Amino acid sequence: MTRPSQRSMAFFAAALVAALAIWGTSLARAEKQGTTQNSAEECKMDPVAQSICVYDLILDDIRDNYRQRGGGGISGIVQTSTTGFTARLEQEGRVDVRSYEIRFEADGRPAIVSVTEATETM
Amino acid sequence: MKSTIKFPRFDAELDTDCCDPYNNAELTLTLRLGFTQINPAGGAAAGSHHDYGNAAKPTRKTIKWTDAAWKTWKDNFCSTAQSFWTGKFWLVNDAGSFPFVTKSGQGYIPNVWCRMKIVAQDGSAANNHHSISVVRLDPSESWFGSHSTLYDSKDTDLVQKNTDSAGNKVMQRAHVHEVGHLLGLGHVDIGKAHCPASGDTNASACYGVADNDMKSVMGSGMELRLEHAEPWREAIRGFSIGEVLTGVLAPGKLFLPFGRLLIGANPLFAVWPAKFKRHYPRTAEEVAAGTLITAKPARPA
Ligand SMILES: [Zn+2]
Repeated sequence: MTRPSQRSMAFFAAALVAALAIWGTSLARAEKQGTTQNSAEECKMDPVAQSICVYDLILDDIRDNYRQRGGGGISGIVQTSTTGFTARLEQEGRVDVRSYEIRFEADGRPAIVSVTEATETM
Repeated sequence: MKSTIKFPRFDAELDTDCCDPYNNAELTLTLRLGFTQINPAGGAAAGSHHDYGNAAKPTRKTIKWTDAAWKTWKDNFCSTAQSFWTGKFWLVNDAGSFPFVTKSGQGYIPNVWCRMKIVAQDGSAANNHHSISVVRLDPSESWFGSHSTLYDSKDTDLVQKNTDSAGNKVMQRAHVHEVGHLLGLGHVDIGKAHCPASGDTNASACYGVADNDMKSVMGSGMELRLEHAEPWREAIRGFSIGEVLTGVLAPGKLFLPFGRLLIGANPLFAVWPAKFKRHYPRTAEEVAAGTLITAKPARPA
């Protein structure tokens, strides 16, 4: 058995670090998917980051609470006021409309105050 | 005797010629559906169509109907929807209607077997009860936003509509649900607090919240319920009351028309309860006693 060269040892170590970094990132992503709240740090960064947090929250609510899983899926989520959003889900003969009222916590994180369900008959 | 009453949603034919000590009258509701193709614009082989035919909604890829595909689709629509709905209910004759006497002199009162027939016609036919336009989806498309008069070629497929409390998929073939509407049936939860009859009865909660309701064909599933016999019950009341009116005008034509009123089996107040099981014709005494006969009885020839 030949002894590995210095150079190949260094390459192996670098590859190991890279693999660990990728594993760490995917672990963090998996943890985030398991929660319904983004971290305060993420949500107060800037307006775009904050609205990403709002949309994440709405998507989490649909994932957890909307059981009519057939149909055409989510055809849109639209902001209607600073704290108002509506999500539209296409179904046979109708569009289900979920209206959200959002509150922003002092740390920037959004929270759902209320969800109202309505239907538009097509 | 065969007689027909034309209702706005369907024609109802009552056949009492088939009655004997073992066989009931047959009530057939006939739906004449006028189908019209929707093809890509300009005679093209492929194109697109907006969900619900609404230009503000997403488009789905469509392809041109061929004669063979059109015939296959219509045949499949009619045969599968018809076999779902026909022959599933019996109405127990608590009205004493349509009595008959066998050659041996024994009188019987038949129950009513509920049948349904779908006739596919051209969309332009004058006597269609309902008109339906149909897009043919490109094979790459899995869904199109249909509504009561605009269907797609995949509306006959069994697909997930809902999820029960245990996380199981609740599946439905859209066209059998739609035919329920064409017969006059509403969604399963109409009248409950979460789906008031005065509100939009198309709201998602109207398709059933409790697991059992969700699984109804007039919810998100494929199960029949006894209340789905309502179109036939409505039709048979028409025949039954018509029979009494005929009896009043020509009393000699009917067997015991007024005697029925006296024994309490009054067509005007009859309920015609629906059953999922065959109930055999009964004698007047058996009707008066409220006896139900679900096993083949011994009857004189
Ligand atoms: Zn419906």
